[in-house]
Amino acid sequence: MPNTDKIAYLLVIVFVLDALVGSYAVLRAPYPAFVNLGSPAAYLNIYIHVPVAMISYVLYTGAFIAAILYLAKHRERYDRYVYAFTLVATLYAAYVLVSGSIWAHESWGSYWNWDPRETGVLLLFLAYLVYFALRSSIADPDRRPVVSATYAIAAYAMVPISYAAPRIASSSLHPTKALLQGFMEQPEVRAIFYTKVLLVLLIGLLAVKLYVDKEALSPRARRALKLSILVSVLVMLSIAGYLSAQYSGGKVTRVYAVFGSPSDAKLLVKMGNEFTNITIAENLSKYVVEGRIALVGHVVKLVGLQDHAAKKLEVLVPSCVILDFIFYALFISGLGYTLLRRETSIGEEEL
Amino acid sequence: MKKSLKLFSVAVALFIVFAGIGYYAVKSSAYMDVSQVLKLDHRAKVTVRGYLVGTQYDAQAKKLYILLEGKDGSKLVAVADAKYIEDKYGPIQYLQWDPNNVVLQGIYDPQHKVLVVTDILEGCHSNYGQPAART
Repeated sequence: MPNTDKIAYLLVIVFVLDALVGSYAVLRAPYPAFVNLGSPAAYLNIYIHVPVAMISYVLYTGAFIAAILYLAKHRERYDRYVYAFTLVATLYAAYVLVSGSIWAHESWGSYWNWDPRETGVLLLFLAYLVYFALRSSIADPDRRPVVSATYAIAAYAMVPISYAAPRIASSSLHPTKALLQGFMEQPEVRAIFYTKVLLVLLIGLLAVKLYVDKEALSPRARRALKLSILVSVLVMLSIAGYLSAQYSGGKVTRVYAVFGSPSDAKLLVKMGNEFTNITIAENLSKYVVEGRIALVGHVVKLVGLQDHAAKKLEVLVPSCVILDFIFYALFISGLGYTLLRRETSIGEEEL
Repeated sequence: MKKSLKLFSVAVALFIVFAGIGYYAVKSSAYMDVSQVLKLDHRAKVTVRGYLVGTQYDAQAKKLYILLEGKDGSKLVAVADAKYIEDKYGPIQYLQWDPNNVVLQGIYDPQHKVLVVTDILEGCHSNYGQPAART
């Protein structure tokens, strides 16, 4: 079997595994029990947004190294790697900006705050968008890779800047690595998070390799790849659909305060324009974390609501996580389209 | 070889330019301290970070007064429309504050030395010290 096909089949497995791990994360993974703003469950985005952000830096580093190699050796293959790394990394960065904004709205109060890390990643993304414009604008096929590689090396300056942004600025809403350490050291968090990082890394590296050699891909491997992307996207959209469906069958609201004991709890929620106390018949001891009922900020569904009393309560995954997961599915399908599109002999694109 | 060196030199020079622009942009997007805001002599939209000294709620006027302290001990009074805050964050008496980590966005009025708050942003730093749970 040719190497390109082996890579394609490996990517098939990784795409499906990534969809399954991502689905498990949004359904079962832990998140901080108490937060200052918004839903604690919004921090499920750690397993979706953060791995893609981390690996975008790795891929841009790949482009940087390939660009140096191209300028040193002037081999056409290195130029292909520069383009492939930059293309995949920029898709990753686009997803990071979108998913980060959606998460920020829930947990920081607005979609965009010109936070130093947000600013750094935006500049990074724009800098590398210029790479494509610059490359396309050069008509001379001999100058094109030289100018592009030179620019790719220069644009890489934005990578360490955006990574170190919370430290460069005297303040930032983004936490530093030291502050994240406490949460990341918890065993279940580590297991899921680092598995997701590994899968996202593999997707990126295999996608780059495949992009460079995609003309050698056999029709069978191409079909397998198409099918795996379709299956992955369908799995993720189904999970998103399932999580969205949980919003029906009761009154959906947000918890602003909790009073009383787990067996006799009252929740302060919003009904229409008014804040009101609701008594919950169900014992809430399953929501107790370190002696406190960990429900404040959560989006919940009140079941059997009548006269300020509900029989049951269900904690819902907030819409920001569902949306980010849907966008992740779109991102994977966009990556798949990029890998699978090719030019026919008359120059038209087909899948 | 000579051509490669020339190209590398151009790449390195551009790298330094990009790094300079990026560093300046990121540094400039840092939030202002209370002491920096108090030095402004014109109305301006600012994002300010400070230590939360205290809050006071005027139920009649529907205003929330927030007292922030800067790194040098200077204090800034910020006033927020209670209804806007409640619609976004819930009842004011139940707002959870991390006093070391309060970030306010608003329009600074140098004449009255007051910040008219348009949004309360709060950092999530303390969240990662929290126990992990699936509730």
